[in-house]
Amino acid sequence: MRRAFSLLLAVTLLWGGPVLAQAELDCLPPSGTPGTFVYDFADILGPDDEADINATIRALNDTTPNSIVVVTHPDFCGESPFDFATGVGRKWGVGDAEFDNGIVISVSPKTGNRKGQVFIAVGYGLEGAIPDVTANRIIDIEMIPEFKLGGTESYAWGIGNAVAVLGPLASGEIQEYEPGAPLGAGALFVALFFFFFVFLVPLIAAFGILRRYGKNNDLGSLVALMLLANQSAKRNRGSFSNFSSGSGGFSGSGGFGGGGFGGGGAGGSW
Amino acid sequence: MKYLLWIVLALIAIVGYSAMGSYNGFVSLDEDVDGQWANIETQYQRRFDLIPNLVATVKGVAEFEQETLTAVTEARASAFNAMQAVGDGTGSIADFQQSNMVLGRAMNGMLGYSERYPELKANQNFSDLQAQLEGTENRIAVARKDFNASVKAYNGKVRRFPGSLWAGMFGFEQRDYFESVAGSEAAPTVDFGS
Repeated sequence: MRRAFSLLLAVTLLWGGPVLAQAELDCLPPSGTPGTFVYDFADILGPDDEADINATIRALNDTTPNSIVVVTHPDFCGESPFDFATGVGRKWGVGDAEFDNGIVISVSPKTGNRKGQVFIAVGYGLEGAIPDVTANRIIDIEMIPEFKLGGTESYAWGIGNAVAVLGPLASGEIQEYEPGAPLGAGALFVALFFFFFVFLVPLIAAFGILRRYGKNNDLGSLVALMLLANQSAKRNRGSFSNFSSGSGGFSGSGGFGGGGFGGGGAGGSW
Repeated sequence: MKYLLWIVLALIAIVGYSAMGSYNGFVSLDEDVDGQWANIETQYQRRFDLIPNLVATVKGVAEFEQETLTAVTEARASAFNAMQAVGDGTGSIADFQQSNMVLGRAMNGMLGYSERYPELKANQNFSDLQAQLEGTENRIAVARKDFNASVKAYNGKVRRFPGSLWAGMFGFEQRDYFESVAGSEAAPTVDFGS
């Protein structure tokens, strides 16, 4: 009796849950790989360029919650550029669940008499930072002119340009996209900063060392330099690798987990 | 005899549970549909807000026939009213779609005409407005798809057994899909091909 009751209860509970089949974009894998941001299904990017763009986006994803996913596809699975880019964003859950701050850049290459197409889909959370008009300008100014030039690296250039503009826009580092702006105040500051620390500080430090070395050993500075350079050549080699350890500390969503795309963004063709 | 009493009690409990579950399910799915409709309205509202700007820009740059622009303005007004009527529950989605189709044609007329004016194509304001309009169309497409998915979930529950038993009793009726009338898909198509 009791068993029959619980069975009935279970049946009632299981009954009638709406099953929404969303079998869209079947030609793509069911999900993206966390930490991988470039998916070159159309095979239009060289392996080095692909790795470069991926590293740029990963750096962005490491420091901000924003993520950009680049998907190239020969025919967008037969969908329109807009449906494809938005569909990838939703299907893979690009961006993070709290902010819906994903961007999908999709490119379908120009082949024969078929037009090349591009669409930048912008998640809900970034529609304010990157309005459609801005996305449209980025496509018109940063991407399509490069694509039109042709050549093996034109796709990498165009996509790289777009990523370089979209990243700072998404993180709020720059408020407005100004095409072709010469070194702005921000960039100038970064340049000075680098000059100061990478070049000037070691130079000053080196002079200090030279003078002390020269004094201690009763030598002129030039002789000291020659001697020191000889000595430290071997020592320095090991510590150089410290500078390039940028791949550690990857945490969080790795670019996926959100998926709030409602139609933001813009597209173009050439 | 005692067993019979238990069986009757158990049946009443099951029926009551099922009714309660169904009712709550209907309410939340119904709310979901309303929410999605509000989303559609937001996007259409955005389109309605953009159109006067576009008309003004066109007016400022090119000398259009007055009737081309009047057609757009009037179609916009009637589509706007139709949308509000749906919101009030006095109008049908079908009427709204019909009025959007008329608006779409008027817009296409205006945009097609503007192709003849190179100074308009070169106008930054005009191209920005076109990008915004295109973005709005995309958002409408997404909102409609989401709305239809929510209607599908709701109608599915209303029509499937055992929910169907309760739906009639509680007064939950099937709701309309936002289907495209033939031709309405071609709502302001803005060509970005060139």
